[in-house]
Amino acid sequence: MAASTEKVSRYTPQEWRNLRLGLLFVSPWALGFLLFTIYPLLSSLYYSLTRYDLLRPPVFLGAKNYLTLFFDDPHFWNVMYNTLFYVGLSVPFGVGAAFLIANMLNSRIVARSFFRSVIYVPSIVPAVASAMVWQFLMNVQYGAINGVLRYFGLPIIPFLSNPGWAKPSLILVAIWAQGAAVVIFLAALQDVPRSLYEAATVDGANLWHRFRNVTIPLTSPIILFNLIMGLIVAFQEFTVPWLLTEGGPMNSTEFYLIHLYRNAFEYLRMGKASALAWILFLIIVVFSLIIFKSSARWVYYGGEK
Amino acid sequence: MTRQSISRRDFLRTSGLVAGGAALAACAAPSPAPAASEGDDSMAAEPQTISWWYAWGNLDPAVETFSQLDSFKAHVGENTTLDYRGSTNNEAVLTALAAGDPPDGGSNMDYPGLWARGVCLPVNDMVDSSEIIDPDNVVDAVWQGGFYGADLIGVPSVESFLWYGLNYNAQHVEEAGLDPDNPPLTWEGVLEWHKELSKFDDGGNVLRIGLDPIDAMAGEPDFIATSYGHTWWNDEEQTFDLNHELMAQGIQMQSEFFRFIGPDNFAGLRSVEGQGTWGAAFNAEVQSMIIEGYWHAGETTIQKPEVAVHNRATWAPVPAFREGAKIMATGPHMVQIYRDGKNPDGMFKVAEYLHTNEPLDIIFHEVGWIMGIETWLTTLDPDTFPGLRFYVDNIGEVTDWIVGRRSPIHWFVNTQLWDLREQVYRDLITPEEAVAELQKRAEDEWEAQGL
Repeated sequence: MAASTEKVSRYTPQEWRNLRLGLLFVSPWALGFLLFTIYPLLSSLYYSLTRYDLLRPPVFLGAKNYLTLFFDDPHFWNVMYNTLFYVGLSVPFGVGAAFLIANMLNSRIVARSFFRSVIYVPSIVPAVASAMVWQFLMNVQYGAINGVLRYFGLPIIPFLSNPGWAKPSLILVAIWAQGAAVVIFLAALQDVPRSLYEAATVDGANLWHRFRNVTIPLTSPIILFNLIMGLIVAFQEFTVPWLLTEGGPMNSTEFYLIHLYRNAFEYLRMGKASALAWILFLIIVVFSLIIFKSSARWVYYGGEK
Repeated sequence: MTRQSISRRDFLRTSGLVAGGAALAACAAPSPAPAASEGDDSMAAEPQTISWWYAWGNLDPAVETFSQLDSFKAHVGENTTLDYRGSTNNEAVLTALAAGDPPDGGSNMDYPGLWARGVCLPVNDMVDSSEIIDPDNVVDAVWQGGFYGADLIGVPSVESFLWYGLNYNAQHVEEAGLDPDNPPLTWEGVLEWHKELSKFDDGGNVLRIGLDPIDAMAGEPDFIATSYGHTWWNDEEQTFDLNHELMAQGIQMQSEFFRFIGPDNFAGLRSVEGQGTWGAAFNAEVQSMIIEGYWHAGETTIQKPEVAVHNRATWAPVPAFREGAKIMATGPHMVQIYRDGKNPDGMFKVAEYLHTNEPLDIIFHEVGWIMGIETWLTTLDPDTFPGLRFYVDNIGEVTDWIVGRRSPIHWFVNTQLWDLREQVYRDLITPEEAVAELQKRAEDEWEAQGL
């Protein structure tokens, strides 16, 4: 008790005033954070342990929603497979494509500013609009790509209407929409000191050596950043698959968030949807941790020993 | 001389307190309006709002028209505004209901699902005291479809008539060398027409399909069951009978239509013609037949008059072993009044008004819809829209009636049926396996929903 009084008394009246004012000024954010982030977060954790259809009071079920998902949901493991397939290919290929494009746009090419602008366009076009464009490019009947194939007498490709083709087609769309990552990579590339390239050139390094031993290590923190962000976005992909395929054909593009949405709003299973959301949260945390852990081996931070 | 200045700290403190006070004041509940004394004339003139949300996208012009009529204003009150919102999706309504701030009423929602969850008011007493709504003047199956047990779960309104017919484009039929005056009445016959009417290019790509067997009403479990002479949902016992040979036969027959076109071709065509939304492919003339109700005639005429002139209708198909059966479904669309709405009486007044001739005429001519109110039906010209006469003239010929969409998990079963049927027509499972799985999923869902 005495120690506690002693601890409190370390604040001078001026410091107390500062503290009160500080708390007062951060209170709008703090209240917003508590009300609109923490409260819904904890609520969804509670609802994940209940049967809740929005319209009737929740009924406590314990872990039943989680057990049902793992052992009794006819779609859950298919949805997991679809999502991991999509994330596993779209994220590395997307980041890789963005990195290569950024490198090209960082070199002295004709109309560089024009290409830099063009490559960012997919990031500012609304997802609905770009989905419609892809719909008319990829449609098996009327699609522009198949129109060209047909013109040359080649077999057409059922991009979005065949279960085997649908996921790769959506991955292609995801790789196309890497404008934001390209811009971030470009900024990172421009931070790489010219002197390092010059030194490497003097040492006899060719283009590949400079790329491998200078560019990649010095931009590796940004590669890590884009990888993590790409992972989070890809696990939560919804709009484009929903608009292009609605989860079909044959549930082949029923990704995690589509399944969550169906449970929440088509079947009114808010409890189960909340459980799905928490499982997704844990999956993303685990994947992020794995990448962070592995980053010690491949990410170079300047000044580190 | 005293210094008239404040420190930066005092300023910040004062402004912080003022801002905080203002925020609290803004959050405080508004003071209630002064209560009018009984008999106060100003009460009658007090502005009111009736909020009505519905999922239809094409009703808005008609509501806009009738809500401006003197007769409407006289009925609901001169100072009453109808705040209607069309194309309102399920999520919006659910969110409003869950938040305790719903509209006063809703239409074209999941009526039994919402009723089963206790968010709607029974309207028996309101209807009993109404001088406008006459249950005896409403087509009986439509009116009875509004009841769950003894409770009337909404006021049957807006559009409620006949749901099943095979509507076809007579021009396509003639071009294919078929006789438009002798349409098929069995699934087997419709499949033959499907093959004749479907068109492919030299590369085998489909240009037109005869019938999308799951477009509009045909995709729902009620339709397969009724067509094959089965009942999958027992309304009294609240049980399912989906794992049945007749359901399997129906799925198998529908699958034949997909196999002829090719599942990938079908999926591609549906995705561009409105994702298989009702009637879009028929209107675009890439589909020659469609199984849906009387509204097809009016909607097609209003949306695509050049296609509608070729429209004709006949009985929806049944399997050959049931040849001669004439199936038909009906059921009410309703104005459901939400328990937490602010103006249930106002909402009921709108429902009452919808039973009068003026709005019925407007909805008929502007949207193409019919409400089964018998005295009004006699005023209706069945030749207004090509194909409509079939429905108006043949009510008495129906042999098998069903009141549709009665199960509180109808839409869940419907979604699962689509999922499993696709597995059948892609030859991954048998129809028998599909119906067994459908039964299991329905029972699991019933239990999981605590219904």
